[in-house]
Amino acid sequence: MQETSTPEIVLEAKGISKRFGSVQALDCVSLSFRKGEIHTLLGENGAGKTTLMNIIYGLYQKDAGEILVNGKVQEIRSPHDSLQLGIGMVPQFFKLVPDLSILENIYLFMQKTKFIIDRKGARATIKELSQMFCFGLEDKIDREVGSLTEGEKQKVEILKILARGSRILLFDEATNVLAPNELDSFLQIVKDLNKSGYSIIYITHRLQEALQISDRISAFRKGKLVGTIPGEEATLEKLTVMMVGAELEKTSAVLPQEKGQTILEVKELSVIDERGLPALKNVSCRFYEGEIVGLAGIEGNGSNYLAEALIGLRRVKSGKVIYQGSDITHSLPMRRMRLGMSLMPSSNALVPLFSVRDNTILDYPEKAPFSRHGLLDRKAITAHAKRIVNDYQVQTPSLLLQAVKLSGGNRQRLALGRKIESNPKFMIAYHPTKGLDIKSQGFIYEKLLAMKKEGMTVLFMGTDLDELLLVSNRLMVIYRGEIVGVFDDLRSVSKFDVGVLMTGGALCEGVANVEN
Amino acid sequence: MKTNKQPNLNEEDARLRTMRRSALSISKLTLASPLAYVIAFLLTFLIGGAVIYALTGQNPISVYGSFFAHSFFSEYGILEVLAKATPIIIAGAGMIIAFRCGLWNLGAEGQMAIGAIVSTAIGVNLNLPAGILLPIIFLASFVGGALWSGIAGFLKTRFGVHEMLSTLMLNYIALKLLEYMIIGPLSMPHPNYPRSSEILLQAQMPFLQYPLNVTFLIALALIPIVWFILNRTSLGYRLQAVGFGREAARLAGMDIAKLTMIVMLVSGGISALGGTVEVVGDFMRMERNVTGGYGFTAIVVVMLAREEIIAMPFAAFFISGMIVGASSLTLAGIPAAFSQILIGLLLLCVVFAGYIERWLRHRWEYAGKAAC
Repeated sequence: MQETSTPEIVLEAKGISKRFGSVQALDCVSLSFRKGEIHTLLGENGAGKTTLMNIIYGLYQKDAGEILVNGKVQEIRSPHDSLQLGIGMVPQFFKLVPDLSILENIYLFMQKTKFIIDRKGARATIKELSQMFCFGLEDKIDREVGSLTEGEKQKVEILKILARGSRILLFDEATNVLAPNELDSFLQIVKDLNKSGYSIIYITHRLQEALQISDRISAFRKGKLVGTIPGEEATLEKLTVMMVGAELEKTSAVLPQEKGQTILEVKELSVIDERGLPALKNVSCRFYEGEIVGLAGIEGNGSNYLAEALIGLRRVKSGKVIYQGSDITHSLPMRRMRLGMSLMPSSNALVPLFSVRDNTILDYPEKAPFSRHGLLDRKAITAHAKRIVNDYQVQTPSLLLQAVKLSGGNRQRLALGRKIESNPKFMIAYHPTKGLDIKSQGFIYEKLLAMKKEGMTVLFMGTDLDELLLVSNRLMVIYRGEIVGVFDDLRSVSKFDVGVLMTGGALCEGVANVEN
Repeated sequence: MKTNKQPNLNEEDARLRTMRRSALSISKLTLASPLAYVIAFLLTFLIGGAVIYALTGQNPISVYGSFFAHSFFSEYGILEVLAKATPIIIAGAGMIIAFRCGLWNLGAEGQMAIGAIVSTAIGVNLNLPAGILLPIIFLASFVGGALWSGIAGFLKTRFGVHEMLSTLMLNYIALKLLEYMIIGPLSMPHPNYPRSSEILLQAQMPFLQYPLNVTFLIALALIPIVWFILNRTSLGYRLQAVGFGREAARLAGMDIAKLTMIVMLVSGGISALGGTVEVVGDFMRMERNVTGGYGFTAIVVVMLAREEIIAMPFAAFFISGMIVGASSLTLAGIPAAFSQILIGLLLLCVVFAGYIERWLRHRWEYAGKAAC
């Protein structure tokens, strides 16, 4: 199966499969990487690209298939093995010791041949590499890594694998941590590395980056390789089709409806993330009674921060959240839930070691009739649990089964039942169908639509445009912490329009503006 | 029934993270089944027996026989075992409340010391009838211990200091404070060695049959109380939700910082009563070794009992039996400290057996892998 052209294959994955529990993360993926190319792996979160990288780097073990490095089959059991083979990864979340200097961090990672630390040699190597690729770290070699910017830390990570002698470099969602102004210089570094002969595997979900730097682009969807195309043939449209699915012309059948009364208003909300970088930038939006609003956004673009900020789990830097006329910007989550807000998460909705029964009151253990004066009423809880298990088709042999033993679909149905039974007026559904089978997904849509009819508002956050267009009355798109589009009438909106916005393909082109 | 599901990597990552975290919480997931226990006990006594034989050349079985004969088959021995188990059970009960909330309160020893100090200070000085004095002593000890562990709770919720470190360090401060008290403010006049005056007669609790004190009944009564708190109150529900599913509890809107504080207070308060019973039910005064390391022993006991409140007293009896039996070891020419070695070995074996079992199960579950 050798390609006819000259390029030498440095790394090849053959028929790689990987399963996590009931989820097929990689389904028989075969892919080869040429010497000296920048090969971009494109896909949504969970499409399988990172799993493939982790298998190549030795962090996960594959279930089936084989990996060839320079034409030889290799068993990669740990990063140690892959580093020996000249494969190095720049991880999405840095693995640096903040209290050590750049020199010490890199030295820790270098191959040690001597017992005595060769500081001089290491210093010379690092200086040389830093100068060669214009990292600008030459004068900071003895600075503590903790005092560096995120961009500089990333350069240290790159230096680490270069100093270790890796020739194949994996970049995993490398630009997520970067500030916008650091982006161009980073891409330049990747290009320079490539020019010096390094083979680069570049993982991203951002189309623009893929278009800018790739020699070849491989797109992943739902654990499968969709295809590989040369960089010069790639267009925004082609890539969007590959990433989101084929039937781009499909639009929504949901008719726009009369807007009810305002239930929640978000005014110029800004939130910063753990690293102190802006996660949400002046987000403004308004929600009305009895509607489902879709929020399309690929993970890492701030929708989780919006969900947490709205329910009160994350501190707001500036802006206002007004619920039914009262300012709740700084209220505790408990208060918001008492007022009728609710968060339906994609996972972690249940306490894994609690029984099915006990999990049915997780949001409201203090509420009558489940507890009175701090004492639990087992009978009331059992009756409540029975009702939820029946109404929401939770298949369980017993109410006392540990929740961890339920399948994913049953877990989400149980959680949704618990949320809906508290009669919320505004529900934030954060990727509520993630990882579920079609039947469970359908059940969740049905319940949400039924609740909408009864006047509940749902903010439905997701990545899958099919489902967003299926259930939403209106649709918003979030990209890099900003609402980049709002669609009030979905009949005229195609998946392509939304897909381009989601991946940063075109910013605010012919799109209705954010209303105030 | 395999449908093509969308991969969910974050969930997988979260699962791996929880697994890693639970590697710390030994008793929660590693000690899986009774079988692991049987293996662990056999292993402990096998290794221990080999050491006995290698060191003294005696028949290990007869040594073990005399070891347990005193603890469990003589009347005085049994009473002694129950008496020694009293502070261990109380400290363990306090500890379990914290452990069930995922908080590593290892400060029972120090909290006991605070309990002992408070009860001595009151028991020596406050001349009231027993019916009023004793409740005051217990209540004040509870408050003292709660405030002491509350320091760790405050450091945790405010500055993120891990409670394992802070409670452990607070132990040494409390023990030194206790020493200062018996040579300083609470010292008896002209002592032969550092100790406090005897507490007032009405503060001394009666013996059921020497050496077993009425305080033993208090320890026993604590078991259903703690069980009730954990299983029948919304506080217990919430604290275990945090302990067993921190992220789920957070997403459900629970105020984890506030719960952490409450749990640390209650846990420390109960553990402190372990020191109180040593003063009012055994020593009748305060001495340097009044806490006797029972706060540390309680850690072993709680782990052996897998943080199960009902199982905990039995684990306490067993460990206490090993402590009491130590004196009979010296008759066989084996140092008494050997029983401490056995206790340590037992804990290691139980943890080890748990890991082995979990590993086997893991292999078993992932045996059927997907082929291409």
